[in-house]
Amino acid sequence: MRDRSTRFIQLLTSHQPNLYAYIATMVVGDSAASDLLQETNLHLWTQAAQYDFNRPFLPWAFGFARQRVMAFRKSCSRSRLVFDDATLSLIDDKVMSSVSEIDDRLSALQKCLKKLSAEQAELIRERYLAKTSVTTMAERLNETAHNISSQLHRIRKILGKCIEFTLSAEEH
Amino acid sequence: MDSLERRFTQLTSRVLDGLCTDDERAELGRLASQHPELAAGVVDEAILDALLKWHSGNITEGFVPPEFPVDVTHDATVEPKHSLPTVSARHFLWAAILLLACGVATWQMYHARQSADAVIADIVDRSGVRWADDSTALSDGKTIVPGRLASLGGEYTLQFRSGPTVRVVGAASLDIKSSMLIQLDQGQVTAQVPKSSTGFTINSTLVDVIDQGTQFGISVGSGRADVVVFDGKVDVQSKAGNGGGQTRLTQGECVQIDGRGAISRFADVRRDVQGRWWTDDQSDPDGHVIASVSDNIHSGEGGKAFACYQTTFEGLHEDSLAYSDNPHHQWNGLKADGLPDFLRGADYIKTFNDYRYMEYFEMKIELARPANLYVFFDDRVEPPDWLKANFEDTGVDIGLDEGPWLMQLDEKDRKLDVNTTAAGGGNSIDNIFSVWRRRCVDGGTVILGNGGKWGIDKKGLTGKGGRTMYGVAATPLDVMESSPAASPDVSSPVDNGT
Repeated sequence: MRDRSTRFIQLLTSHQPNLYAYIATMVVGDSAASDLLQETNLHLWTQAAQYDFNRPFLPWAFGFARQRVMAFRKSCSRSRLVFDDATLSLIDDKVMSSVSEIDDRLSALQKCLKKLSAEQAELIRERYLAKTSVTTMAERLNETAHNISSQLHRIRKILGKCIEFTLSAEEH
Repeated sequence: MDSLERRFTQLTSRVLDGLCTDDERAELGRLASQHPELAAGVVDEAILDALLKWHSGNITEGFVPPEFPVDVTHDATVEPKHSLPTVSARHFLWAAILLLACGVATWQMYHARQSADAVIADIVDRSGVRWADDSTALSDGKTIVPGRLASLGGEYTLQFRSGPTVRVVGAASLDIKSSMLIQLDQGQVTAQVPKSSTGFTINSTLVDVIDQGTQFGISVGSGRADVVVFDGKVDVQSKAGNGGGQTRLTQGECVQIDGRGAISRFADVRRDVQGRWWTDDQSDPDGHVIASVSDNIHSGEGGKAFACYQTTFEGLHEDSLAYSDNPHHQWNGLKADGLPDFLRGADYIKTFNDYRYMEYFEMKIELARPANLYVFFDDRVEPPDWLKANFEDTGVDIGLDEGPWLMQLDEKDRKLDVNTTAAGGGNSIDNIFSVWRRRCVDGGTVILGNGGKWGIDKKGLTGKGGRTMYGVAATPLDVMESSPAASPDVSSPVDNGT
């Protein structure tokens, strides 16, 4: 019996980044993503006894994450949401597919971050590690917030291409 | 890239970077609905944004799972239980939850290890600091990375690169978890947090203090935690005992949380010479004139549950803030040459302006040494008996520059307020205060009374005019050269005559 619980915990733990990326993308740009991950974890935990270990964990877990996202969407004002229900339904499959192999993507990201210029790396560090707002970064660097956001977009694009290249190179 | 795609990209970045307006968010949603082929671009960048956030760690920080009414050891083929687990199952459940939390943390630590070495703050000022050996957050003596920062004494200031400033006084031990979260295990700190870092949090075992745009202090030690709000507001979450309650504190409020989680008022707060930081660790305590301040007000009276006084040693200067519950009112001289010489550099107490209408109010001041004790009393108000009986009017007046009056309104409406404070003496004086003095030759304890009756209005009629609370300052008794003629000596505690 205890083996069963330990296995479930291992599955839940090892799939945290997949669940986070799925939720964060579905509520794009909303700071509620980490709270929704916690709620999803709790929900999954309460349903642990129902899990069939013969089935893949992630699609089952995504179902609970989707429930939390939809409940969140109902609870907040329309102005806080980006996608309408129809668009969300359209992108759902793409998000699930993209985040299913996330461990490889995270490893590739680690390598790609090292390839950034010092200036690019500092912007990423300040924005993501130090969690500095773009407005504060702009004030410190004496630039407009729009310029900082544009730079961050370019860096994310560079990292995205680098990750795809790294993954395809590893496949061959 | 055509203009539509460019706009799509621009809006996506603004959403991810927290810059978008409601209209822009709606526009992105509309475009995604009309051009689903472009929505894939949003998804790709949003996933990368999520990867970067996860890679940076702390996504699941603070996760405290509750107790679940479920037996996780139950097999899927059997109908699930809905009753509470047995004691042994409950213990196992907690162990499992702990394992889950540890597993997530370990996973994140593994992936964030390389970026954890990044500098998040700089030590911009320090005096007499001795670092403990376990200070892993010290990068090169001047810069700070996430980790433990422990000092055996002295003072230092951390400037976080994201905006907040944190002053640490005396022996202290901090676990700096990120640019938005510090665990304070022991010591006294003051945090100055810009609006852009609202949500900056200092945790301790007894209480969490969550900034809502402010300057606040927290002191942890001896089984209790003290929290002071110097400006703005904070949310205080008690964790001990039944805990769980969240209290919002505003400027001028202070609370003490004991080991059982009980919250009470504490009234006596000290600040450094410049009035910037909270400190009990003064370099020259023998020179202090004011030893302590208290009153006869219980928590909850006078509209403020946890009001406090702030004593700034040697801190009375031009434009010094007058009240602990007002961010604008300043003491000034009536003319350009400023405050009178005998008041400059005096120990002074920021009193609580909201207490000016309380008829039964009494304030007790304990003096550390022989002193001149001064009371600045509003000229619009008839001096009360307690003042006339025990103090002498020096004939010297000072002014109060009040600044904005519309503090209670919404921020947008406050912009309509044309009143501002001005720098230096003789500028923008709104009300005049007489300086009353009492010579306390043996120090001792002095009790002051209420703020007097209703003042005189602009038509010269009594009973309807405004008034402000009196101010209090003290100087060593041997500083007499430039002061006015001496008043009668007072050497023992006296009744205030109210």
